[in-house]
Amino acid sequence: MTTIPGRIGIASRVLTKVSGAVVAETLDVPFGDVHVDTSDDSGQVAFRVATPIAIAVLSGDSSAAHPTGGVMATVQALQETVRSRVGEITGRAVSRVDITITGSSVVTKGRVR
Amino acid sequence: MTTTSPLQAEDARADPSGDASVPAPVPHATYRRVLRRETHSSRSASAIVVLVVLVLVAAYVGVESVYAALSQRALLFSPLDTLSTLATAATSSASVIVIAVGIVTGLVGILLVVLAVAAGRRGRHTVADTRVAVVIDDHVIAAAIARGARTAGRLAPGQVTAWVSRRSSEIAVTPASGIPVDEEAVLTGAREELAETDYQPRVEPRVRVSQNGKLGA
Repeated sequence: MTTIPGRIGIASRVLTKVSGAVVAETLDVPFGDVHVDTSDDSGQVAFRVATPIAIAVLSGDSSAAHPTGGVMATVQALQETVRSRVGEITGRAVSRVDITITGSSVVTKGRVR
Repeated sequence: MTTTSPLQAEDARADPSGDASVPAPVPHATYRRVLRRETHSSRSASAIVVLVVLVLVAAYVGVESVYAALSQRALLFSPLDTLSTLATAATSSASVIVIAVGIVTGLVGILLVVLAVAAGRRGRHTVADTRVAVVIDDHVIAAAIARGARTAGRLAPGQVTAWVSRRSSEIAVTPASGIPVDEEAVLTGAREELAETDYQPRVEPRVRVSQNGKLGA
């Protein structure tokens, strides 16, 4: 906290964009596919995220490793990532992250068509 | 104005005794009267209404008296019949109208007693000053407190609302989502703002932080 008088405000759409970017970056999905609603949760910030998730082709080569713990573990890790990263970037306490998986984009890593 | 005007009185006291650090309370009787008039509401409006009603009642009784003296039929009803109705109202099975009128009259009576006894304070404070009589509306004090609290607590204008009553002030703060409110800073800011002016009676601030935050502030 600086000693210079003045206040710093962050518009709610900025929180929405930042959390959307964090989700897109973490899951490696296009930013435009991630939809975020931001709301207040008893004085803290709550996000409702709807996003597709990137999954390796099940029958594919082994170079695209499946995440340990599957989709649930990925999503639980994402909740924590959003909470900490948005907290770091905006300085706002995030109390709640609801995530809905709306689809999957198949990762076809290393394939040459 | 019988003796000296406040201005002359002020001139008489204007000699530089150098003892300006001890401000006497409001000095002049005229000032005290003016301040009291400005901080309390007048009862003339209710007095006028009551007297006009009394005049109408008296005029009506007079008209009915003339009709009765000429042994004509009563214009609306005879005041004497009213008296007998009143006398038997408590014992006889009074009609609904009589009961209703009684209740309304009782309420009006209570209202008038309250108007007469209550202090009739207006939402204003005075400032203890030896030179001038100052009256400040409570809204102005509230705005000043809200500004002081806002600046000290680093809050947006929409996040702070203040009310001022006679001896206390309530500051309602809505936190920005995700940032806790520094209640101590808000209270200190409000106290400093209040300390700048010597409001009479003194106003003691209280801070209330809302449970829900405001997004995007």
